[in-house]
Amino acid sequence: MVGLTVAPSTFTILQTEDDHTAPAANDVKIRVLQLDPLFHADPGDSVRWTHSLLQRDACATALNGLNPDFLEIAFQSTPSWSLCGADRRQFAHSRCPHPIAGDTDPDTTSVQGWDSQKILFKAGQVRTYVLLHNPTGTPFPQQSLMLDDLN
Amino acid sequence: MRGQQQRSFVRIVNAAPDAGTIDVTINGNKILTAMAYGTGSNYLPKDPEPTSV
Repeated sequence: MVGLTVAPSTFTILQTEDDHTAPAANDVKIRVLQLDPLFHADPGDSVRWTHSLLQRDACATALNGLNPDFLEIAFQSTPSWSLCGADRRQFAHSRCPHPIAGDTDPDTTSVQGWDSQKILFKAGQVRTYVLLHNPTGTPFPQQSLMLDDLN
Repeated sequence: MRGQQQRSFVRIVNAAPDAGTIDVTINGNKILTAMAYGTGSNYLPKDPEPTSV
């Protein structure tokens, strides 16, 4: 069988720069790269999504007063870095039921999905959490990839 | 040090769910083969020069 000759198309590669400067002692530096184009396309959805990196192993349905670590990260946006303490943590994806501009009240933030990864972060690490689409994922059509940037 | 050229490092993530596995070529050299969706490469050293991916 002769291979097909396909004219290459052009596309723009999303480029982000890493930061390899170590965080302060006992801290971990992390960012979220949102690469799921459908993440904000839930039924009738105009709500706001947040991402939290929590110190827990058990799933919960609310953030219970904790402030989200990453607010409303847009698809393919350039992520900023956040610091958290070294510990065993798990990502929770949340939505605020009342999408009011400026409303960051964590008490009204319900957890919609937990990442199944439970990650033991060590002090001095730098990490990039990549959120990807997974059309066959249930009940949450996402998957994630953790990139080791430093240490 | 004279003559020492600083190198860059690049890392590639396949975040295209409809693309299947991909090969990645930089400046005509295939550097990654059959890279699956949802995976990322290690850091790859790269000379600082105009680059086509």
